[in-house]
Amino acid sequence: MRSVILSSPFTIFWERLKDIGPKILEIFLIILLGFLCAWILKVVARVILKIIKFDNLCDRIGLSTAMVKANVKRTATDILGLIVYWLVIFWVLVLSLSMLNVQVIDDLASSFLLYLPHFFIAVLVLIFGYFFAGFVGRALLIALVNAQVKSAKPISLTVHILILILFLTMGIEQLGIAKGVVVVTFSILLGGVVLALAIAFGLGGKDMAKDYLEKKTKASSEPRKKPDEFSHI
Amino acid sequence: MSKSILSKEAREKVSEYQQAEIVVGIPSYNNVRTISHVVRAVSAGLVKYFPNYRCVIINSDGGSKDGTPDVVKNTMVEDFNTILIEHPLYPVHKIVTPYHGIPGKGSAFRTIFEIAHLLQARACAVVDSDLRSITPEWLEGLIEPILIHGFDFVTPLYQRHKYDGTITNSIVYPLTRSLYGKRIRQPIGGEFGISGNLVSHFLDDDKVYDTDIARFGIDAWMTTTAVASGFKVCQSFLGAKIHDPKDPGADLSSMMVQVVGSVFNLMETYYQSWSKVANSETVPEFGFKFEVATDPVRVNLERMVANFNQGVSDLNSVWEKFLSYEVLSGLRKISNSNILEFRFPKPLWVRIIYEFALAYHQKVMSRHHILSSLTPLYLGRTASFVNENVDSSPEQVESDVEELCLEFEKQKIYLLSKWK
Repeated sequence: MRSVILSSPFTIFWERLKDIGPKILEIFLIILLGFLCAWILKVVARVILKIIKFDNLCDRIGLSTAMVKANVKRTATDILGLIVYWLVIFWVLVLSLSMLNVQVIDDLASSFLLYLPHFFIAVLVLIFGYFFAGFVGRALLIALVNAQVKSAKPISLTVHILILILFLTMGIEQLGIAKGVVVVTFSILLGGVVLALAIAFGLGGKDMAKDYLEKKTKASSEPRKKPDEFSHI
Repeated sequence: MSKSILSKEAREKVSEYQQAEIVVGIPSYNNVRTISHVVRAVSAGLVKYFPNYRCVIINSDGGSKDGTPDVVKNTMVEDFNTILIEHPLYPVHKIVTPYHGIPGKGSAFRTIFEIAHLLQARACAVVDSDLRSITPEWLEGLIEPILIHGFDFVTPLYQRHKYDGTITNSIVYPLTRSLYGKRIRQPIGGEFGISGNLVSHFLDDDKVYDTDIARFGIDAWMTTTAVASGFKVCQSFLGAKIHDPKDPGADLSSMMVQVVGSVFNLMETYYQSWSKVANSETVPEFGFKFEVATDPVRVNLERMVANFNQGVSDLNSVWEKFLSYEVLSGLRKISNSNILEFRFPKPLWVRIIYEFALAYHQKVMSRHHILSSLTPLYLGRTASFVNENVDSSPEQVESDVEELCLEFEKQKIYLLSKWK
């Protein structure tokens, strides 16, 4: 009798273990395979990014410089490879947990799993947009100054801000925050800017526009002001 | 040497001629107005000064639409008797071929070098196709130092208008001189003599032809490579350099990016070489120097100073990322001054070039942005140079350039101290 009392918990534990055991083994195998897949995908992602010269793009837009300043020792390609790696690992862990068939974990995992890529894409879009806007704004500023366009600074600043707003909208849309509101606000803002410029140019600057067009048509019929005659090289 | 880039026709011609001691390359693109004169001068130079050598002229064309290659094929020297003492042993052959790769002079040179290498040429010369002032004597000047005196690289010396070649005078010459220690006056002159050994060396590094070096940067690359690799270099006086007016639409900014970018890029490659150089020395010179009158040129000072002033006011946000406080305040001090009294001090200019080189090296931002933001400063320095030398003779202008070179050499220690 005493031996039965003592052995029954072990028996129950053993019975449960027999039920769960194969599942634990499955989870273990899935995690193992997951690590392998994550590693392969990381390598593939890095090869693709190297082929499309992603690091060069990051150099051009100043992302690499910002990373060096932040004491990040890895290249942008390496970091994206790592993001791919850990995303796969995370996905595999959630998948393996769902093997336990616990409803709460299932729900939490599936909603989190669905949201996570959006979050990462939003972060990437915002980071890329920040540097891209800076790159385009600066390129435009330098080109306009070299072409001696008087309003080089305000034009390049406007373009910089518009690109920032565009990427911010894209990022917020990815996060799913007030989707419609953000898109509508952006459309109104952009439409408003264009309309304001059109009205300003059409009404306020009609004389200027007239002068400009007259000068243009006159310039095309008259010989252009001669350039410098010396050779730079 | 890597895979051949020659066309089938060019390879057939090479097989036909088999061997040549002298090869002269003429890169071209829509040069129908001047190419005939260049080909005649080259042909005459070869038969006059090298009658006992096998010579081949190569026209490497970038897809001209004005019939330039046809003109080259049909051009002959009408009467050699007026210029010859003895008749040539061999006829001068011509190979007219399009080049492949990035459109530009560098790709054209690559084709010329490959043909010269296959023909086992002892000497190769390259001359621009837009030259109006080339004479048969130029060939003697470019080839003789190689064949007779054993030099590997011959750079040109010209008589030019005092305002001509401002990128050379204010950046490329003083910078390469202070870096590599050789006083090569026209490092990006356009006409060069190259030994067979150096031609092979130029072909070894085929990756450079996929960069900006394949465009305007080839001249700087050839000179720097020759000097930094220890080849024997000399200069040859050729006389006046007058070429067809350049396309007024040609973008100064992209020219700056390619030429200055090539020099900065080579600083990375040859750091070990230039970091050990403290002073500069002259290189041997050939040719008889003489004065040549040059036509006056028109300079738009107002436009140059306006561009400089706009740069100082608008590009501060770009420059403050890599220019020091002293430089920025120096620039603010000289901006908005009277056009005719505008002066850009040499020490400030030298510091700017070194800080741009450092920014390029450290990649503080897109390298293209760094280089293209130099244009307003360059125009400012050029305007100052014009103001400083309005009444100067050629000798005075030369001593002004010499002063600038010494300033570059003096401040090199600053560059070295910041280069990591």
